[in-house]
Amino acid sequence: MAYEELVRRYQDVAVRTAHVIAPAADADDAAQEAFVKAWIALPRFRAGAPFRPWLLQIVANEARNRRRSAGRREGLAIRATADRPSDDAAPSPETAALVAERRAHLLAAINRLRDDDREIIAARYFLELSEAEAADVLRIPRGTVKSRLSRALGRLRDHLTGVEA
Amino acid sequence: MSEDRSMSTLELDLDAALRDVGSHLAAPGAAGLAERVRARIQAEQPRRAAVPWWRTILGRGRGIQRGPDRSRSLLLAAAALLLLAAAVTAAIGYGLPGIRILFGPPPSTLPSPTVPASAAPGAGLGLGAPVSLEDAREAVGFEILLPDDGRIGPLDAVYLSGSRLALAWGPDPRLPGTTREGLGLLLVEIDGRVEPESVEKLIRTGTRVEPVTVAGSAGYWIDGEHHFLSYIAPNGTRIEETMRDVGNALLWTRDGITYRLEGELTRDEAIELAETLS
Repeated sequence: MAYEELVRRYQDVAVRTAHVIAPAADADDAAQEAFVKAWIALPRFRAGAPFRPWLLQIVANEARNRRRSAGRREGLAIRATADRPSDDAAPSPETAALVAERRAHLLAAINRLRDDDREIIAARYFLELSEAEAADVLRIPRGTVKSRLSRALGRLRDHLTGVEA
Repeated sequence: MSEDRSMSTLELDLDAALRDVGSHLAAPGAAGLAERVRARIQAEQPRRAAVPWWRTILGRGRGIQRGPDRSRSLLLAAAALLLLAAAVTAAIGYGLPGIRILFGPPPSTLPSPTVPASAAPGAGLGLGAPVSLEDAREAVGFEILLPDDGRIGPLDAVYLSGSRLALAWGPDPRLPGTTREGLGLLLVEIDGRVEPESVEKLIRTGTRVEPVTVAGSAGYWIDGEHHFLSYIAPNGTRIEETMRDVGNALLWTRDGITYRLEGELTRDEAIELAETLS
């Protein structure tokens, strides 16, 4: 079934997108609902247009609706996985622990950022969206993606240096 | 980690660290997602089935519609099901193994999605006579502007009433929508200026009205119910408009034309969208 293949192809990026925007408890549900809505809306999808940004806009909209009804950003947390066994040349347990700790530290700082800062960083680094895609998904003017990212990185850097100093 | 390293090293590190984290992000909800989506989509199907199984049992081929009638039908269907179950049980006795009642096999592949046949977006809201965009262009004496935004698909319907033009888009899962089913976004363009008195009236009725700037032009963000607005046409006549509340509204005037963008957008989203009009 073609649509199921599409779901499989984009499920990771869809779930991540939802987790960037919605509280953890609602994010998976948002991703699932977005795929269903996208399927229903398929006739409105312009043939030949790229599917990924279209889908991610739907995911972002679903996630945003859930964030709105959740009210607070409680439980909002992008998390890192443990290293896959095939990663690098199997680092020593000590190194692996250190690496995992650094990742968790960075993610904690990102999760503390305000919504628009966290979202723009996640869009560019975690979801690897192009500037145009990021603008569409985050509903910001295309011309402001660069400046927003640089301001967000500045604040992230402040958080990190503040914590480490 | 040393505290005295230079900022440039930190910048470089941050960039690399962010990419590293990005490649190690958890997406726990992705497991089994395709199967769950498939199940949800298949669950949507019975609603669209041509003849529900219970309708054949009831022997009522037509005339079962929505509303109270439908719930009565469901009750009747449930009663019929009980009768059927009783009849089956009576016929074959209790406790017979291997008895299964199948209500039709599940579809092996998902059917093509279909758009429910319905009226054009904005129809029935008294927005005016449906016209084509080309006809509207000829009829109004101003240039019709359309949003240039990746999320706004092709225009679905255009309505003309005097010098007032209403542009309607159907529901789109990428947009917050409106309070009206079947309508995703509404943009009204009027050859005239907003009468300040009518905005003051809105404020007096308790509607929140906030002055805003849209691409350098003065405007208002109207948050909440708004039922009447009046405009002054270029020839000085007043155009009274009864509003069909479809959501919040962003109202602004540019080059003598007043634009009203309506939907469940937030203020900033509406302004950003409005600024793409060209």
